[in-house]
Amino acid sequence: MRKLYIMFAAGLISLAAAAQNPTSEALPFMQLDYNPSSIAMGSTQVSSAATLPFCEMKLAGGLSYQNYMPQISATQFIGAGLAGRLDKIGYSLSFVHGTGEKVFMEDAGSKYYEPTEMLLNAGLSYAFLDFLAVGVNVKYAKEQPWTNYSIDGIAADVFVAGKVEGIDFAAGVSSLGPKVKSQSSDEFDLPTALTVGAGYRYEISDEHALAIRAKVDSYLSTGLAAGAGVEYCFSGMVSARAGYHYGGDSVLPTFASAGLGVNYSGFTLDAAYLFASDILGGTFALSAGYRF
Amino acid sequence: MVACTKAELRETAGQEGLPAQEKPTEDIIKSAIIKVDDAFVEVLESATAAEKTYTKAQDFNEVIDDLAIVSYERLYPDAGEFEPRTRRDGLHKWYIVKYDSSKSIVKAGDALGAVQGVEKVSYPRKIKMRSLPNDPYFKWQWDLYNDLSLNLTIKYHGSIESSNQGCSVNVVDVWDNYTTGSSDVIVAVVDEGVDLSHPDIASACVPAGSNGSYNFVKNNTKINGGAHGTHVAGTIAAIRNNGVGVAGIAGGDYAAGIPGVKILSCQIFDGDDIASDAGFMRALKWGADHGAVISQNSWGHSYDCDDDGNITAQGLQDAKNDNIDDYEKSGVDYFIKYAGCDNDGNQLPNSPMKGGVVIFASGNDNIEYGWPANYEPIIAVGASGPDWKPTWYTNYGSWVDIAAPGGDLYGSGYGNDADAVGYSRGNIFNLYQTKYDPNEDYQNYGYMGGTSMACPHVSGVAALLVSYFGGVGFTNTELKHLLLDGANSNYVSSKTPIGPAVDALGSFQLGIPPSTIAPNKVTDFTLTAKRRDVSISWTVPADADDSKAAGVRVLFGMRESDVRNSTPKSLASGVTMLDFPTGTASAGDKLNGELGTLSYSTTYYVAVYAYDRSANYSEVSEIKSITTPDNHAPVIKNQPDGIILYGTGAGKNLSVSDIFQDPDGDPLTITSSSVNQSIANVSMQGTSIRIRASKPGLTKVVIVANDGDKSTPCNIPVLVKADAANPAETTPSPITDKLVISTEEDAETYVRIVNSTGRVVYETTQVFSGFNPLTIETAGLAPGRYSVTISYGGKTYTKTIVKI
Repeated sequence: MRKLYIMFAAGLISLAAAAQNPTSEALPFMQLDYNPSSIAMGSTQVSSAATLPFCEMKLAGGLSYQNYMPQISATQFIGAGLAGRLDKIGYSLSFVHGTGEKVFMEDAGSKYYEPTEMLLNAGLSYAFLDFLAVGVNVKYAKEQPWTNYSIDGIAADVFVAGKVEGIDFAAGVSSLGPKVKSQSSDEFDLPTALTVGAGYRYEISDEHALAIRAKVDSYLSTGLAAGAGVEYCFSGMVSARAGYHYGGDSVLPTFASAGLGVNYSGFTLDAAYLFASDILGGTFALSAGYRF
Repeated sequence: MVACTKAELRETAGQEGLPAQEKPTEDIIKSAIIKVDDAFVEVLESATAAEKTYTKAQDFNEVIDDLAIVSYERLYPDAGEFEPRTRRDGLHKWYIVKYDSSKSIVKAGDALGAVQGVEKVSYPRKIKMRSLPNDPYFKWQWDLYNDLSLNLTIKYHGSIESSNQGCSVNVVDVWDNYTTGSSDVIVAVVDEGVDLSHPDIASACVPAGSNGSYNFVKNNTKINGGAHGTHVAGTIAAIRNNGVGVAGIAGGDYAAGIPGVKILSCQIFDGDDIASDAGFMRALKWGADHGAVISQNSWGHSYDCDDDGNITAQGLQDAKNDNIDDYEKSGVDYFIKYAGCDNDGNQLPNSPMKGGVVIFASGNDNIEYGWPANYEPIIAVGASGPDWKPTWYTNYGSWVDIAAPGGDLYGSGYGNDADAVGYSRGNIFNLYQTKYDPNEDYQNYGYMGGTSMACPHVSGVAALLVSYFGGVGFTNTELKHLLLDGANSNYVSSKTPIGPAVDALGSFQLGIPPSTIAPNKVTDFTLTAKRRDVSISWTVPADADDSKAAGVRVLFGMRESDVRNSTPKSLASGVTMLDFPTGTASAGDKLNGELGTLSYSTTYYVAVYAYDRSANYSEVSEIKSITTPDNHAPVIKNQPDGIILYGTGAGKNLSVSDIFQDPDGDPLTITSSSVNQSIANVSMQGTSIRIRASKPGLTKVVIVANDGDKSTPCNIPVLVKADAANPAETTPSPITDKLVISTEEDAETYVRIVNSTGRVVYETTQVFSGFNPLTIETAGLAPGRYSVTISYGGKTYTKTIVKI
């Protein structure tokens, strides 16, 4: 009951702030989840190289596509990435490019322009214990909202991750970096968050398995967000996923999600769909990859 | 000692806060010599010593402005060691004053003579050896210069009927000492056409054209030169001293580069044809409307019933019973009234004379009648012979105003002198039209006689007088006075009176006497105010020596003491002066004038002085006051609604009369402006206000109505939208510190802004519209892309915006 009261109060504060002069963080797409299997489970996966030393695969690579927020102003994200581990060392490299809807830019000669976003992410981790690793991701983000203007920023994710008796967990800080300046030299925070996430996979039988995941983000500028999801896997080949994300006032709004995954001979295909959100409803993501 | 510095007034005027004027060149400067008293000597010497333009004498300063005086300096400069005796004998009191030649000598004399301290005004005389023009046939122009060298004896049956007694128009001394004519003067020759190509007069003729010389017989612009018309014109204006042919009375000085008077040919005879439908009167009026101030007419009513050259008893009776027709009177009256004037009868700035004179030949019938010459306003001219006596043919009577050489036949040279060629040198020798008679020894020249030839002598002398005395303020009345009162009365015939003989030198020497008696004061004047326009009406006062005041000078100001302490020649600060000339009105007539557009709700005090032509001022009138009424600012009778324009270039027109009205009925001056021309601009098209869209946004145009005193602005909001399909708009794009959201109508509207990841950064529900838009401070938004959702009236619009 007390927890509910706090949540309600936070909502009031959030609404009150929305009616005042608006504020926001720069380069918010740093905190988006581009992994369909995670999105389908309420965006609960900690995206950090620190988790790589405990993965079963040695190397994986893939391509992704996401049509984000199509009901309001769609952004088409395409991405590519690879991740792997060498004994106790994990590494990752990914690239995402987004293209927004055309905007009529009066001061750019009264022409339409397509805003773009780009995110480059490189991660490295090391398992200093059999069950515990530390990882750092370095991210470079650039947004060009119109042809004559762009902003960019560098941030880092620093996490500790581990795995103990089927339970994996991670905790750390994400998108930590210097402030970004606007054209008028005003400074704006990045969407930095403190994150704690955990998951557990239960093998019901040889053919059936169930996994659950949860994650809590505490954004330094905008407050708490949390997600939970569940995955059912059949024969290690087909997975069905569902999840819910409470966004609060954070960069990632509230939504419910569902998705499917296929894994065959190392080839993977995952999809996710978002609903129950007047903002993110209709968002869907796809990815295809291969795991060694 | 006093410096004899020439005070170059126009060059220093600007330093003293007066409007700098272009300095007249020497050839357009006239001079006058004044003698001043001891007190005024000190004033002038003080000014020249200080190198000041203006003096301490206010009345002289006004004359400096009125006459555009270029300089004044001592006539006899400082004589150094002989200066004491120079001053002892008063030679230091003589000053030479140079002024703009556009001012008439009469006006200058009057103005200078009216300055306190000026004792005498004289004019520099040209001095030179008497010289005759080099025109080769001048030797036969006894009518201009008669030194008795020509034997012009007339014999009848062997008896001497007449002999040369030295008759002429006495013009040579005028040429030497005053003028040979001025091209500012135009004489309309209503006659046969003047040969415009005649080498001895061509350059003096106004070219044929719809605004120049005109053929009233054919009603076209082709002048067909005739002997009679060309002869008449030549007497007036044949180019003088050009080594060719003859000299005209006012033909200038070709050798000296001085053009003579101009001839406007108004052709009413063309061969045997005569201008129909009384075209001769249209021709006469034509002169007044085309710059002429003298109308020369050597024509009249015909009484020769059988056209045999003799007047029968019936013809004589016809002449006796004849009268000038009203339509003829109206044409003559028109010329006299309006020549040299504008539509209101005011002298035109470039005209040498106000009003005109109409000069007619008396006729060649040797009778006592002659129409229209005997119409009183006309100057009628009879013909005299070389012996000063009336010729045998001239019409005569008390109605003939002046005599002039008309020539007489049968001179001694007839038949004996190869040069005479069938004509007596007792006639008038002058131009023929070119190739008049190929057999004539003197092609282009010849003899003619008649009052037709006498008349242009008077016109020529009149033209000389206007050339010299003419200018601003010179009137036809003064010309008539000079012409008639300056004539030679020594040879007036009592038997066949044709008036005194025209005497050019006599007229010039007569000059115009100054007026000495001030007019009566203005005893009744009234003031009326219509809005802030104040009118004055008064009765023209009488003047003992001028019959009427030349005008009134009105002084007015806002403080009674200032007006009371002012004089016509010295105004207190804050007092304004206006002159209203009497013009052609007579004493006792009521006249009106406007004091101009003054201030509202203000009391003005007005004093009136009458003045004469010599600037003698009457006593001051009663000082009256008038208060102008209040003014009410224009009002907005219909405040226009806000204007929505869709798309760049879209426009809307508003009518000024639909928006404003003035409670007082004053005419309104409308100005317009746009607060932000990059969004919408506004312009005036007559009484219509045109508003045109430039780019999307909200601005306002301001229309200001001014009634000449007060202004009323009308603000009209203007909303420019990109297109009608997108009624909800966000501006600007990109945004920086503000985001403006507008719709078309006042409605409760939901607005939500989310960033590129979907976070709601702003959310509200408010009532706003296009003219009362929602403005959001966006300085706290990080650079990037945002989506704005706008919902009202059951519709939702989504816009993507960019913050930089």
